[in-house]
Amino acid sequence: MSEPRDLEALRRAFAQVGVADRGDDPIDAGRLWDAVSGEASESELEAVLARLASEPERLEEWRLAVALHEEMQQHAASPHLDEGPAKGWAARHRGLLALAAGLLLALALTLAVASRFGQEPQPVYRSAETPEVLEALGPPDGRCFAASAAEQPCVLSWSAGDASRWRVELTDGELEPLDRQIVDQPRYRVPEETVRRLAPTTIYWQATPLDGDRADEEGPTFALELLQEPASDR
Amino acid sequence: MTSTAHRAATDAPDREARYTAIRADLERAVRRVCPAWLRDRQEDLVQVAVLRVMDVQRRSDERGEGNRELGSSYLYRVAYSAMIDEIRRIRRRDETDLDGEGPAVIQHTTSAPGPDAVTQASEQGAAIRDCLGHLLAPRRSAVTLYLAGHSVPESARLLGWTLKKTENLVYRGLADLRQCLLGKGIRP
Repeated sequence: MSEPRDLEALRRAFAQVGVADRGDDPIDAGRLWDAVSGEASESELEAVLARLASEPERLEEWRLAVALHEEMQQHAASPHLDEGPAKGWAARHRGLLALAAGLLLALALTLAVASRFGQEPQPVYRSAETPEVLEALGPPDGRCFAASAAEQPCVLSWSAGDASRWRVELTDGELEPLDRQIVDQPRYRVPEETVRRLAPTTIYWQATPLDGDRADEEGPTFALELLQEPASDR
Repeated sequence: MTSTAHRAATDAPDREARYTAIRADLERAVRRVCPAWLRDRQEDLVQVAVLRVMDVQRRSDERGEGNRELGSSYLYRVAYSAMIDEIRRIRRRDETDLDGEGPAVIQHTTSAPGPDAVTQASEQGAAIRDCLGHLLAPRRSAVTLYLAGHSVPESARLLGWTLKKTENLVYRGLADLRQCLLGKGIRP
């Protein structure tokens, strides 16, 4: 969707409300955070956005929540921010975890290479715990790096459900298509050239099952951050 | 040494690293979005938020709930709430300081518009708010995020909708909004 010509004027007028703070019954900050972080129910999110629509002076608070949540997500893989009791265990077994991660990565690469060369598709394991809604599984922190694109391929992966074929679509921030592929494994390797050419930016992707119970049902949209190289302070 | 004190002592380096990480994220987030009127208070805002996080963790330890570390997501929620409380407190104080001059006007543009332009924009803003209130809820949600500066993909992600659904609702919502504004004699 190209931007409407009057968008800038509408946005400016929407933000220019002329009231700094009514002071009465402000939106609870926790509700704002829950809405941004995906913790709020659909009706609660709708209620918060209805408040924002009528009180655009809260936009600054909303933007701050979005920015902080994005920073938090980028830190999610940091060992200092692991959740709860797993933290101590993870710290003590960091070597084992690294080994396991290496083995998983090697397995993923092997599968990707095998499917590329036309071998039989690997079996898809299903269980009662398979989530109904398609979930993004990789890259783990939603980021890929141009500097290491050759050694560490940028691989998107998602929960398979009961499907065995998917249509993967990549778009830029303006919804301009970047790539569209049919795959028979729940993973897709973003072309190295794409990562190098576009970084730094955020692109978006979707995987739509082509068979199974949810055939042709569009899944959620996921963001993928393309960066030049890992930040030194992370 | 009590078990809580022992744990606090052994966890100290990890906690310190955790607070440092939260502080760094807070600083980056504030730098990205902090409006001009809060710019010289950025450090205070971050400090208040980090102190609140430490306080919450300390009280959790004292209550004997510290068998597990508080989750990151929870601590960020605490930090965000503390910052918003502080921003609102500063706003209220600044408004009080302007006693008799009316509420402070939030300036979102870099160039200073004249009084007529400010009045006109405020009227348009009020009309937009009123019109948004009459939109169907899904369209209002989509258009609100779009007017807040989010792209369609960002809005889709925040709303948990597909791109197509979000795009449709933004498109239809904007059409409804324009129609409503025209009815009020406003052409954006």
